[in-house]
Order: sequence, then C-alpha cells, then structure tokens
Amino acid sequence: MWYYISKRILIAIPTLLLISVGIFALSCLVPGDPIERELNSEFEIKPDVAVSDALYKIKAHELNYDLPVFYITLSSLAYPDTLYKIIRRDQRTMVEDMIADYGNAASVLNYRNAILSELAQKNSDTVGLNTLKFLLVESDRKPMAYQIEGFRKNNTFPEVVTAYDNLKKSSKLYLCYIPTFHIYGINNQYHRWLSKFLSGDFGKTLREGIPVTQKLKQPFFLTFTLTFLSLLLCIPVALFVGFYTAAHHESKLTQRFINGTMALYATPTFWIATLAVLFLTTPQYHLKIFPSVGLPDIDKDLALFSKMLAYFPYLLLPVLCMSIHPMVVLIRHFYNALLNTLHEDYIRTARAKGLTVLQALENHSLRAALMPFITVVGQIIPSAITGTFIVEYIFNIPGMGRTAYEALQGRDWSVAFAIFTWSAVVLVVVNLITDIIYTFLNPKVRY
Amino acid sequence: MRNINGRKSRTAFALISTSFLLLAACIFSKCSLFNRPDRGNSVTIRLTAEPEKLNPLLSEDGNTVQVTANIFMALLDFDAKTLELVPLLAKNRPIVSVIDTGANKGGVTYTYQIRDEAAWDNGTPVTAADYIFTIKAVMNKQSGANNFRSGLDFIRDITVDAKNPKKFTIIADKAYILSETNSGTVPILPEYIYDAGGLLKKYSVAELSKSMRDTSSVKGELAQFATQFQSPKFSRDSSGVNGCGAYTLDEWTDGQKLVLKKKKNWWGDRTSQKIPILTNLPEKIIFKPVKDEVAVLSLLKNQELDVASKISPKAFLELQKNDSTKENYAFLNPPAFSIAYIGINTKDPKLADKRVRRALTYLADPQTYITKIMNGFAEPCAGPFVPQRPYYNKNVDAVSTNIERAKTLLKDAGWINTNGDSTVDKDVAGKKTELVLRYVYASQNVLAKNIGLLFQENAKKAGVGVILQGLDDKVVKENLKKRDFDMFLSSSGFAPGLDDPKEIWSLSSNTPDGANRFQFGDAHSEALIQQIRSELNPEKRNQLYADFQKLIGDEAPAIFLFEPKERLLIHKRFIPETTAKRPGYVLGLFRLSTK
Repeated sequence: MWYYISKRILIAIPTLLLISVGIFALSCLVPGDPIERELNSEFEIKPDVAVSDALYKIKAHELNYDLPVFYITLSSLAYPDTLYKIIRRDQRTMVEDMIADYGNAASVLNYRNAILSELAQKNSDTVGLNTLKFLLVESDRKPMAYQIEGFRKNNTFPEVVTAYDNLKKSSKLYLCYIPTFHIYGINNQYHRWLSKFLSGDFGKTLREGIPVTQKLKQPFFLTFTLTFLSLLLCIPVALFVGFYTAAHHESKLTQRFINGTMALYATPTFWIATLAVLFLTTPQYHLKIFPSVGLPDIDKDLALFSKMLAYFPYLLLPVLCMSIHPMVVLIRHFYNALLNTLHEDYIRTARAKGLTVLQALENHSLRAALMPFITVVGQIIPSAITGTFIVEYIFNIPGMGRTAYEALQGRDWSVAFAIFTWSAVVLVVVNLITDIIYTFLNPKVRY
Repeated sequence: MRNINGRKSRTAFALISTSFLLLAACIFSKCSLFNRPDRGNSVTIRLTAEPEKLNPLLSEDGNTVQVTANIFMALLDFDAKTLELVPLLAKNRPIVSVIDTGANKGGVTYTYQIRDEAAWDNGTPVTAADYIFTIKAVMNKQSGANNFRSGLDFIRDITVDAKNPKKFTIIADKAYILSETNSGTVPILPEYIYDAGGLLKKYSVAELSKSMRDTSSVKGELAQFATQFQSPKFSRDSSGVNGCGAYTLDEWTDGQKLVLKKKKNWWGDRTSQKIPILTNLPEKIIFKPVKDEVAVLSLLKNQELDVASKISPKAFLELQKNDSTKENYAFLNPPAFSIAYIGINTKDPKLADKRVRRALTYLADPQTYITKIMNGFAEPCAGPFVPQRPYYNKNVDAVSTNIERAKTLLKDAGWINTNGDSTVDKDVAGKKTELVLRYVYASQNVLAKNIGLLFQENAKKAGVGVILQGLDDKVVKENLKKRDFDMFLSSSGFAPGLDDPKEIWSLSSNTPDGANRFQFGDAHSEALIQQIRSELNPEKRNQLYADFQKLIGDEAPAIFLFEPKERLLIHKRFIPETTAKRPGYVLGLFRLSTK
C-alpha cells in the first residue's frame, strides 16, 4: 500500500511538470503583449519612441521576458538561437514570420538592421519615419512590397531597399525543412518561474502587484467551501435517490424520473444559474426564496464559524445550481450499478431464499455498487471545481473560478499558473484518495 | 424503509421535500439577513470590474477613477454643469503669462495658489512642495505613471513663491491648449506619505524633465522610489492610499466591496457652504464590483444598489418596465461623452480615393443603428468631437443613408461592375480588384457585429462587398497595430475640456503604437492641428476646431455614427445630480430624499 502511494506521488511529479510546461507554452502562444499591458501604454502618445523602447526593455528585464523561453527549442535550421534577444514581441514576431517566408535569417536581420539604422539617423520626415516603424512589425509580403516600392520610387531609404532586394534574392527556404534544436541552459523564463514556484514564491499579480498567495487566499476558501458543500449535498442525495429508484425500478414513475434526469443533465449550468437568479432571488416573480447574488456585508473581524454561518444562505443557491449536474451523474451511475448487481447469481440466490428486492439490494448489492460510485465521485470532483467557474461568475462570488477567468482575460499568468497548478494538484490527490478508498471497500483490491 | 410500500414512500418523499422547501422558503424570506437594512446616508455603487490599484497616478481605468476621485484631489476640476475648468484645491484658475525674455522665451507660465484651508490628514497644509513631489513622481521614468507623463512633458521647471509656500509657478516650454488642464487635474499626493524617506528631494523638476527625454535607465534613489511607489502599500492599504479628498479607504474585500468613509472634520467642510464643488454629502460610499448583468439585475430588483451605470440598452428597457425598479429608481440618460465610429484605412489602395470613403459613409445608417441596436439610447454625431463641445460644427451634416449617392461616387472614382458579379471593380496598380472590404471587430462585441451586419446589407446594394471578421480582441489590437484591416468599429471616450486632435489625427500618431489607425493626415491637416494646439484664444481656436471637423467630414477617414447615452439608475432615496462628465453623476451632491 505505502509502496503504491509513493509510486503514485512519484508519477504525479512529472505529470504536474508536464502540465506546467503546457500552461507555460500556452501563455507564450496567446496573442497580446504582456509588457505593453504592464506599461499601461497601449495607444498612448509616447514622448519619444526611443524612450518608450527603453522603458519596454527595462520592464522586459524585470519580468524575465529578455530570456529564452525554455531549456531547449525545437525549430528548423533557418532560425538562429538568438531571436529571443529581440525583446519587443511584435518585432520578434515579424522576424520569425519573415524567416518562415524566406529561410535566410542573416538577410532578414540585415533588412531589420537597415530599418533600425535609418530610424536612428532620422533623415526623413514624419511620414517616412513612421512607415519604417510599420515595416519593423510588418511581415506580410504585399504591404511590405508596396511600401518598399514607394521608397524606390521616391528614392528614399536606399539601404532598406537594397537590404529588401538582397533578401528576396537570397531566399533559402529549404533551411525551414531541416529540423534542429537549440539548448539554452537553465537561464530561461520557465526555469526561473519554476524555481520560484517550487520555493513557494508564486510571484506577484500583474494587475494589483500583490503576492499571488495573498490574492488567492479568499478565492480558495470560497471555492473550497462551494465544492465541499456541493459534494456534501450530492453524495447523500445521490445515494438515497439512487438506492430508492433502484429499489422501485419497475415502477413507471421511477422510469420517468430516471429519463427526466437526462433532461436535467442536458441543461447547461449557466442557464440553470441564470434562471435561478432571475426567479428565486428577486421579488419580481414572488418566489424570492434566496438572498440576492454576491456575498453578505459582514464584519471583517468575524470568527470563521460565524463568517461561514453568515455566508451559508448566500452560498446555498449557487451550491444547488452547481450540484445539479454532478448529482444527476451520480444518481444515474449508482442506479445503474445497483441494477446491474440484480442480475448477478448471488442476488438471484438471495432472492430465491425469500429476500425482497429491497433486502437484497441493501444486504448484498450496496457494497458492490459503491465501487463504481466512488470512481465516479473521484471523476466529478474536478468537474465540480470547473462547475464553480460559471456559477461564481453569475452569482458574483469572488472564488477561484472568477479569479481565473479575470486572470486569463487580463493575461495575468502568475495568477493563472497558480490556479491551474492547484487544480492539477487537486486532481492528482483526489485520484490517489479514490484509489485508497477502493482498498477499504473491496478487500480483493491490492496495490 | 423496509416497511414502506411504493405508494406510501412516494407520498412521504413528496411531503418531506415539499415541507423542506416551504420551510426553507419561510426561513429564508423572513430571515433578517435578506431584509434590506436601512443604509442611511451611504451610497452603494456598482462597478463593472474591480479597481486595479488605488494609486491615481498608476491606474486610470474608469472603475479606479470612480474610487480615487473621492480620495484624492487636484488643483482644478471640471464643473459638472458647464464642463468648464473650476478651482478645486487651487484658490483660482492659474494666472497665465507668456514669457518674453530669457532662456524660456516663447514659453508660458501658469501660477497657482493652493487654498489656505487645504490640509492633509495629519493636519499639515497642502503646499507647493506636495505638487512638485507629484510632478517629480510622474517624471520619474520608472514610476509607472506613463499615462500622465506624456501629458506633462511640457513642464520645464516649477518655482515656489519665496513668501508663500502655497503659491508656485509652472514654466512650460511652449503655448499648449492642454497645459492648464493637464497641470491642474493631476491628483496631488502627500509627500510625507508617498516619499517619507525624501528619495526625490535630491532631484529638481528641471533635472527630471530633462532625463524624461533620454533613453538611460534610472538608478539609485529614483529606482528605489519607483519600486516603493508601485508597491501594494500605496495601492491597497488604507495607510498608504491617502489624499486630501473627503474620503478615506476604510475596507477593501477582494472581489466583493470597497468601502470609503467620510473623514471627520474634513477641511473642505469648512468651506463647502460657499463652494458647491467641495460638497461631499454621503457618509459612506460602498463600491461593489459586479461584472455579470444578470447579477446586476438581481441586485437592482432587490434594491441592493443605489447607483448602477453601463446597463445594456435591452436590460435598461426591461428595468424600466419592471414595477419594483420603476417605483424605486430614477432612470437617467446623460450623454456618455464618447463616439462610436467605423474607422477606415485611408492608405489601403482601394480606399485611398476619398470619393470611395465618402461613398461608404452614405452606406451607413446611424439612425437605424440608434433605434434598432441602441434602443434609442444614442444621438447622432457628425464629427470627431462630441456635440456638447462649444466648437462642435453644426454645419457638418450627420451621416445619412443614400445608396444612389454612394453608387454615383463610386462610379466617379472608377469603380464599376465590369464582370457581372455582385461587386464593383477597378484596375488598381495594374490589377483588376473587386471592391471587397474587410470589417474587423472583436468577436465578443455584439454591437460591432450588429452594426457590421446592417452595414454589409446596405453595402451590397451599392455593389460593395463587406467581409465581417470577428476576432479575439487581442488579435484585433494586433491587426490595428499593423493597420491590417479595411474597416473597423471602435469608440473613443472624451474627457471634459479641450480636445487635442494630435493624439488621434496627427501623422506623428500614425505609428504601430499610435492611435491614428486611419493613417489620416497631410501637410494641411498637420498645420491645422498645430494651430489648434497652440492657439490660446478661445474664439480663434473654436473656429480652427470647426474647420478641422469640416476637413475630417470631407476626407472621411471614419464614419461617425453616434454618441451613446449613459444608462444609469439611481435609487430614489437620493435626489440625483447627473452630469455629462463620466461616470454620469455627481456623487458629492447626493442628498437623501425626504419623501
């Protein structure tokens, strides 16, 4: 048993690392420039482009964006291993796109340097210099060619025109098809992030500049409470209803009920939650059973138990809404598991000995049916957590789900990483606990 | 369970469930927790998102400003009714003089004097030293106050009156129409809190003004100050978030509420009888961030909000029909001080001819957009300035649909259907080109999509193809940056005061990071913009603005659609005061209704 638990924990480590790599890769691929967002400078007039570039570099250095992304990169021979040194994301994208088009990195960089050199000399009017600034981020062939032809016609920026002509002549597209990899060592963005993460430093939030742990304290408490209450409601209800319906499985009402649960399962949670808010939290339809959305205004110094007591009525409707799906799943699984056992020989024997269906189920089927039930409980916990996402949003509860949603919208990756990693850890731990519970329910199971 | 038969158990189950629900209903509906408590003179306001940082120099988003405007004060503010600059922390508007001699010849000086009563929470007076500190904090390149820095780059130095520490003079390098607004509306921070160690004392404004323009990174005390200034202490803690405004930060519960409490013996109360702009009646202000509209509707129907703005037109109409909200709330529609427009890429070869762009303006139907999409909550607007501006040119006609006129203009520009398909075509740079345009919008923006669909329908009638391209908002921004579009829908918000056309319409703003996404501009427009920016005579300037609006109308770099109206609900327990200034109401003047 202990050997098995240790093995599972050891397997969990690479799993979590893989998940973190996946999330990190995703953060690099999504559009939008986190440094621009941090500098709060989109579409603002800059006092000077050079000054704003300098500010950009300082911020990039602060956030480690001036380092390679990972330990290694898999690419083609066309791409040099120094592209990460082009710090501005839009300009780096342009260089990467052009290398993909022409395959000759040296010519592409030569073309870019020609533009930068003309920009530094400032030997032109505003229109000309601005066109150069666009060329620094333009990788589409058509508009690029259009601008270069304009330069050629007006006899301006000859160096840029020459570099462009050279680029077109020196295409080495075949290099794009030869795979290679570059090793960057441990001085990379991912390594720095992981080292901090493992040492318990989850970084600071991009929006507020506060430690991520501080930011997630309250959301964690709320989501944990919601999920816990939801499971507390789902499991006994599912056991009771599943058992009751299985005991009366021949009744038409039971059949209708079981079929009806499919309709509930097919109804999206956001719709149920929206209707619940509209009908049950406002006096408009004379059905105001629950308080309105959000959390109550309570004294911040209240004791934990009193706080929970005050929160309880406000969490009840969200819990009901997020419980519907998992509850239906559990009822159906438990019902089916119990019914399956009814066809087993040992049940037939028990019935032949004079036991009623109810007695047979209670004394002989229940334990056997609990095995698949526990598996499903283990599986629905992650979906119960994700179920809180939409419910928290609609009910205005600042839990992990709403925080994750806002973090993703604002590209606040420190927060998003912490939440996703936390979810992954929960998933791994829950699966482990499920496996351990098996051994108690079924002595035949040995690890 | 063993002894219950099917029918009995069903009945028992139904009875237990019903009684449980009824009991719950009784308990919950009567529970004192849900009865609306008497909130007295405290105002509960909905925010569309949680503020980022309560440091007024670091965050300028609408939700943050709604909160910080009650904690911090500036020298000047805009009057809620006239929208003119009026003194707030200053005794009067500044004395403006042109410099005739010396090193700063050609520049302008602005002399301010701070009110005698103005004091910080520790009782020390607000002085010129605090203003100078604030300006130095902005000028420190790494402090994060990037949005203010570009607006204050005209300041060369500040001198303090030797006899009066509350009197000082700003020296500007040139005449600029927004110098008074920008220097007067920057929120002043107490030096004794934000720079207790005196890190910026060693530097003069003149020095920092110079270093603001070079590319070197800041070091030593400046870097130390920048780190300290951006720390959560000055963005979230009640000890660090402190100004000379009427309110202080009392509580901030993440994602739930942010509470401001009125200061006892606030200095402004001693003068408020004489000065309405210093009146702050509510004792407490509670800001609740609520993003989802369903949640907002629930809170409004339960009267748990006193003020809610930015309600969608459809929901606003629904609330107007609801008996409870109709009885308890005032429904108000002040102008939103923004303009919705369809931007056109004037440098696109297909759209370079202004006759084509003008033809496109005749294909838009703002009146239908206003009635069908905005449910009537908008007014037509015929230019780049909101109609409330004194210099808004009423002689420029608002856009109206005229398909025949559009066809004629396209024909004049050489766009004719030569191949019998559904769109007109022309030889552009030696290549037959169909007039098919890409309309780019953020896919989550329903307004942009609906306007696009209606525009597409009219365009088809004139032989213009329009491809609607809904993209992720970050991708849209990247496309706009690279000017990779033919048309896009956007809206611009306006502050009260004067407009500086340079920001949106100047050739110098036509860079990947600049806001001239239309690529508009020529020598004539540049000269006009420069004239407007430096003209300090209001009458002459208004004429220049009118000329500029006419020029924009002729060149058609954008199709100006409408100015939306704010959809605002204010609880009737207050006598509401609305304004065209954002967020649309004057919180300080919220007086409890006696009814």
